[in-house]
Amino acid sequence: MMTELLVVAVVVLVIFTVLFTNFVPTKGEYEKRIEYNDVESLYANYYLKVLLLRYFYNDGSRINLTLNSDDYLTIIEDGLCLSNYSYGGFSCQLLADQYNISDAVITNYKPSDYSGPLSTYINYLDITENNDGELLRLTVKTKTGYSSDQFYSKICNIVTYGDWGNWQVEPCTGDSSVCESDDKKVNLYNNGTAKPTDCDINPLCYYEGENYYIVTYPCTENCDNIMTLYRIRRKYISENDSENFSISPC
Amino acid sequence: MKKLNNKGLSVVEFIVVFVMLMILVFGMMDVIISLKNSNSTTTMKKELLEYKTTLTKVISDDLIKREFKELKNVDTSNTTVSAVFKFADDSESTFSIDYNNFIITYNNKTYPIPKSEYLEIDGVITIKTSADGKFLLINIPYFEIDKDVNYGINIVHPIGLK
Repeated sequence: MMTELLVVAVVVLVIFTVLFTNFVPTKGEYEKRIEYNDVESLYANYYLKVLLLRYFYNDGSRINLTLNSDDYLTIIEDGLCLSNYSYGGFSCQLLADQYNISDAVITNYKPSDYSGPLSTYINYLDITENNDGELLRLTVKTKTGYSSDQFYSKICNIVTYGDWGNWQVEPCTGDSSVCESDDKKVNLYNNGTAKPTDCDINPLCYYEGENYYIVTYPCTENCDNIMTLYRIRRKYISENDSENFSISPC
Repeated sequence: MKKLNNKGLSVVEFIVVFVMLMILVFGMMDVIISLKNSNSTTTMKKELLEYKTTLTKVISDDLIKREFKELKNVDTSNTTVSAVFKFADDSESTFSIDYNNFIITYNNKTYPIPKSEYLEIDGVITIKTSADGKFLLINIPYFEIDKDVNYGINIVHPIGLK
């Protein structure tokens, strides 16, 4: 009788122990993930993204944001900005201090080399690449949590043709012109406010039907209208035309 | 005739069973009580996070899209704090907090603050621009009682960064 009792008691204890030890890590995981994508971090990320995009876009040197061989670029480390990114009176350090951003890093969608303080969160993120595989991610850690947001295409080049002069970018149909190879395509955004005359002076301009669009790149507002355009040679202009062209980072 | 075994439980066996059951019950009771408390706290946290996320998103998106320009008529009294936000198109929206009724109002829409026995608005509610004039700061501290955990709303908007 005593033996039976002990056996039953031990079995019951083991069952409860197994249930409990399986439940505790799940609860811990939930508590950890409650910090992920919290609203304060999301807006900290957004404003840092705006600052960086504006900086890259406005800076005369047109920094080519191609990731180094480590496939990531550290923006903020231990609360300190590693470069003096600034725009419109706001500096990276000012935002880092105001939003308590301790770490920020730009990675691609499948970073393999990054092992810093954001690595656990980055590993948790969906690693699905966008279709053209060109988008990057800006990931930040603040006092309240973590967040990540799409950054912008690695491939953004201004193309200057030798004597071809006139060129357009359009969705590639292959009907009437030569579409360049995939690696020359650019992801563009439009603001829909251009006039036809703007297209005469601004190469980053295209038209669709009766609508003309100035391309604003990189995009920080109304970015839903993303469109992949291809550089297209439109027409032969003069005898001096050549196929030579130079590419410089945006 | 065969004699049946009808000894039953001895007193010793009964006491052993009773003691073991007591140990099991008290052990489980601690776990159940802690889980019950944890569940209350988690539910409360979830409710507050949803509230904080909704309100922060409503206000921040408005500040971004309508381009916040100026903070006006900041009014602080014992029971109410209010301020007016002026935007690029000269339109205005009023933000106010009613302590008595636990209600935040923005743009004529009310957002009742979730009440909890575990929480108190502790500290100074802030609606101001930073000393250098570059940020609009809205801070409503809402602390878990006797703990350093703040579930409050903290909106920081860089003025003119777009």
